[in-house]
Amino acid sequence: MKVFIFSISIFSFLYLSVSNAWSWERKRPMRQYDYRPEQVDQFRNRQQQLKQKYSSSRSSHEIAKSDVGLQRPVESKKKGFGYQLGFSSKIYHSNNPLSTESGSQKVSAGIWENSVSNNFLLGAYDLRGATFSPVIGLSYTNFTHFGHDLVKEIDFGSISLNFAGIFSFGKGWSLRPSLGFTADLSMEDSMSRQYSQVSPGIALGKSFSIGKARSFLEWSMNLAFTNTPGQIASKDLLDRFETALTWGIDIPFGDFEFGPFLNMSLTDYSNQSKTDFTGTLGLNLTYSITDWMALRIYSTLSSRNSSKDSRDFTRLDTGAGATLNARF
Amino acid sequence: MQLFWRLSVAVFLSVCKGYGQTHQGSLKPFVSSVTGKAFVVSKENPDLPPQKLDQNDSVLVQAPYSLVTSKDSFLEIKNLSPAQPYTMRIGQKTGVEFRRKSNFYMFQGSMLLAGLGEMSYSLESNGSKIQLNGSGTFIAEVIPVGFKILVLEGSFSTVSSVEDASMESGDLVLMSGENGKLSQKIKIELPLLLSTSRLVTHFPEPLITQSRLISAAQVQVLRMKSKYNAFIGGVSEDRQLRIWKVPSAQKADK
Repeated sequence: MKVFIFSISIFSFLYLSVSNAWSWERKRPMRQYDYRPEQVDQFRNRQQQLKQKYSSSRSSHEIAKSDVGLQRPVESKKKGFGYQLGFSSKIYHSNNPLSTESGSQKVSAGIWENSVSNNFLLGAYDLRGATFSPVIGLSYTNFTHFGHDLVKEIDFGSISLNFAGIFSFGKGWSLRPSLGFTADLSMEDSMSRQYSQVSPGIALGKSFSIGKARSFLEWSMNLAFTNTPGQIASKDLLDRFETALTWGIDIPFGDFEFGPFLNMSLTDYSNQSKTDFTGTLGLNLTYSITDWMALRIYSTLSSRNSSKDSRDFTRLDTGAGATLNARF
Repeated sequence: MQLFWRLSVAVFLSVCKGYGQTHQGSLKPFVSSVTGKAFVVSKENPDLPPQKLDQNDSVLVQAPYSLVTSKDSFLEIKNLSPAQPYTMRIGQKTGVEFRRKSNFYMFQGSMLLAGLGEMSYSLESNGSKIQLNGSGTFIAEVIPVGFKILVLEGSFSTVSSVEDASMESGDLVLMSGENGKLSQKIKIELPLLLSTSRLVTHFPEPLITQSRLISAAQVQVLRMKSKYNAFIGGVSEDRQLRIWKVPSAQKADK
């Protein structure tokens, strides 16, 4: 009898614990940790660090009588170490900030996103036929939600450390092996870690000019080794392999720049039988006030199609922001 | 059977002879590109009229000989010698005398030399004489006091009786005097130079060092601190380097 009562007690404890945890997980609003829209911004930040400014070849042709060409004196660093400090603030409306398919958690809300980014360019090296530029990026982004009671609980900060070695070849080709670490910290729970991932990856890129516009195409492959402490079933449930194709174009006109981009990614989860296809279409209009200050309005439409039920979502973010960038 | 062996040996010998002739022929510098009028003039037989050079012509004249171009004319010569293979581009109104192996006397004008391996060039003009050792691509222009040397990619060391110095991509150096005295090095903006130099852009095929030129320019851009609002011109007869200030409307890079 004692054994029976003990067994019932244990069973009841386990049942209540699991059901409480399950109901807590279901009631508590949850983000999709594996949906990371900041990747395109990080890509653009790196591009900004490596942005090349050329003098106009049309200027001063009258002094170029010889066949040698225009000789403009410049001052160079010895190795090319550089540092870029960036601050970005944007406020936007999202029709689905929790990235859910439907139900009570599909609500509209506002998001205020502030980020500080540091990019360290660890020199530029001539490999005679290719260049090599190692870049370390360290950034922190704070997400504050407003406009709906449900989303106020999911405020979080995301810290990201990324090391990339960028090999640039002729005709705009580039190869970028990278290793990144990202951790999402809960603002509501004493900055405890909600999610983290270590992601080695490699990307092949091609940039080209279309008139005055600059376009880029990048194919990337990334592994993500994840840790989600709140997951009951398995902390590494979101481990995945992701391959993505990103295309973008920057079209300048006056002080404005129109920059649409398209990202398509296919993600296969190693610890669950799930394959996702995510497409993101973004439209950016940037107004440069100075070399280091810009304002922008933008809209991003994302859609996920998952092989698993109830994991699809469509999300539209529309907002405005300001960026400050200083290069040293 | 004996006839078979005799025929086999004869065929083998003829093939060997043919190969030898072809191989030997390819060692002669040949014209890989020509625009306008370019001529070769033998120094040993100065009475011979200048021979006009056309595309794919081999330069069969024995050294020393001179290659000359007229106005609006450009010439590209490829030397496929296994010891010192290089590509030479000659600009407008230029005269270059080929002496011994990689030993050039420049009368006037400008030329570009590009090689993938380690090279040793000897340059001489009315005003100066210098030896350059290294690997890469450079432009030499005759100026009243000697040469203007611009290294587009790679690195070279100069060997002269006065001083030895090294030059890297983007360096501009003036060489003057018979001893090859070097001026202070000045860094030049490579992307602008590469896009405006007719010795780079005025030819149908890219240089063999094209990818290296691009990477050298990219690295310079990433290392750039500032650009000066000026352009370097020629050297006056009184040995003054001419520097042209950029009009204020074209400023704002620095």
